[in-house]
Amino acid sequence: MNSNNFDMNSPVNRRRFFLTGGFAIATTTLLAACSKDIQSPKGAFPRIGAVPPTTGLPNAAPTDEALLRTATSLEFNAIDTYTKVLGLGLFTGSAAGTAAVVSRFKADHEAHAKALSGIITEAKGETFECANAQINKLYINPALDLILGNKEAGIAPSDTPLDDVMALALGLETLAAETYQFYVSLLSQPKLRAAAMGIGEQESRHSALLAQAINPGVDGIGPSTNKTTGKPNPAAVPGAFGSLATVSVILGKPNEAGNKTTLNMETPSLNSMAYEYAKCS
Amino acid sequence: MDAPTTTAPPQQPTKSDIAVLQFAQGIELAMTALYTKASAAAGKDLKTVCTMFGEHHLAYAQSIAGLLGRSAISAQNASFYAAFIAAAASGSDAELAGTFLSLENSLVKTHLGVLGTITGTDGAQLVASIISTQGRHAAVLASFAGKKGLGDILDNAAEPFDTKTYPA
Repeated sequence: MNSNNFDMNSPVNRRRFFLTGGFAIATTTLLAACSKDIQSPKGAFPRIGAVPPTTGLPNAAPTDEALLRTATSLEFNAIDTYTKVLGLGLFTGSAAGTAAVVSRFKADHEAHAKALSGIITEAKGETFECANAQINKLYINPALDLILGNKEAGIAPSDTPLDDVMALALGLETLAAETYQFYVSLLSQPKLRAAAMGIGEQESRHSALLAQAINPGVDGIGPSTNKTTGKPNPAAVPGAFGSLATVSVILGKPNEAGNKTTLNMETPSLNSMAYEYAKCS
Repeated sequence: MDAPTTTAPPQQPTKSDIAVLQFAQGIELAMTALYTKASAAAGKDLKTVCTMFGEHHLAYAQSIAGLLGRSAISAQNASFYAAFIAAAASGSDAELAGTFLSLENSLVKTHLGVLGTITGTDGAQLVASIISTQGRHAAVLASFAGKKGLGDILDNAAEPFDTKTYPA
């Protein structure tokens, strides 16, 4: 035992610890300073590992052209979805009449896209004639996965695909109507606002027709609540004024608790617009 | 496209917007009164619809009045009311619904004209939210009117109301 009450013969004592620790720190610092891979500007933290360079998006504003291009892209989302839905073979037997409605809606969206492209071209802008990738990624692909199933993602197909297709169609039409209504506040020219709402008004009619098909009769016209789930029933006229609220679509195979998945959709905003620099891929 | 303007559109109704919105308000007040008459004449289901839609039109008139403030009018468009009161107050449910389908379709076109004229964004947003629901009104009324074709429900070939035909 020495004067510091430390046994120098012990493999672990304070002096040995400081000696060993100090050597380790000095060696690490020396190796780090000699390393070619880990270098940093003076005063900055060293960086370990490879960081890929990033390219920022160009600056863009929600101009009239960007808004009309985005509206066109949403029309193509609807066209593509209806094309896919018509190919599923769901509209048979008592649902055969629904195919005519879906075909008519698809034709309307094609006419809307053409009209919007015409307005853009007339104003010497560049048209955007394809679906909005962000809307597909966020809303439509997940919805179709919930209806049709996705083995890779472990999603089982819906037990009621026809009902779910109708719910998705109602959601898409409502979203389209809301988008035109929302864009009125962003468009700078009155004539463009009127043109947009001329289309939006027909989307509202689509939405009302689908709501009546899903929830028929006079009880399905005004707002009501599902007594079992506590959620709003589809309504042909949900309120006095057009809503800009989130559109909830309930679809998919029910979980163990008996609830289907709720997908919330919002109108395309700044992060999902078809700006002038965006191209159809 | 046209070069973007550097001047933001006004929020409040401009002087020229006010007259256009006053006309729309007068028509909305008259529609409220017409739906009240129709409610008294309609069968059970259509009565429910007419009452609901009449309340909506009252809400539109009140909202436009709120936007116009002291420039708001206090009376319905009398010439418009007089032109349609007979058709709105009698007939079968299908006939009544047909009358209001025609009125709603024309009103949608009227408001689209308003939207294409006014510059204030507050008024534009309000009128857009009205148009959206009036299209839904028309779709519902089409089924009460016995219209089975998709074109009867979805298409709107109606003419807008104008100040020459229906002066305030």
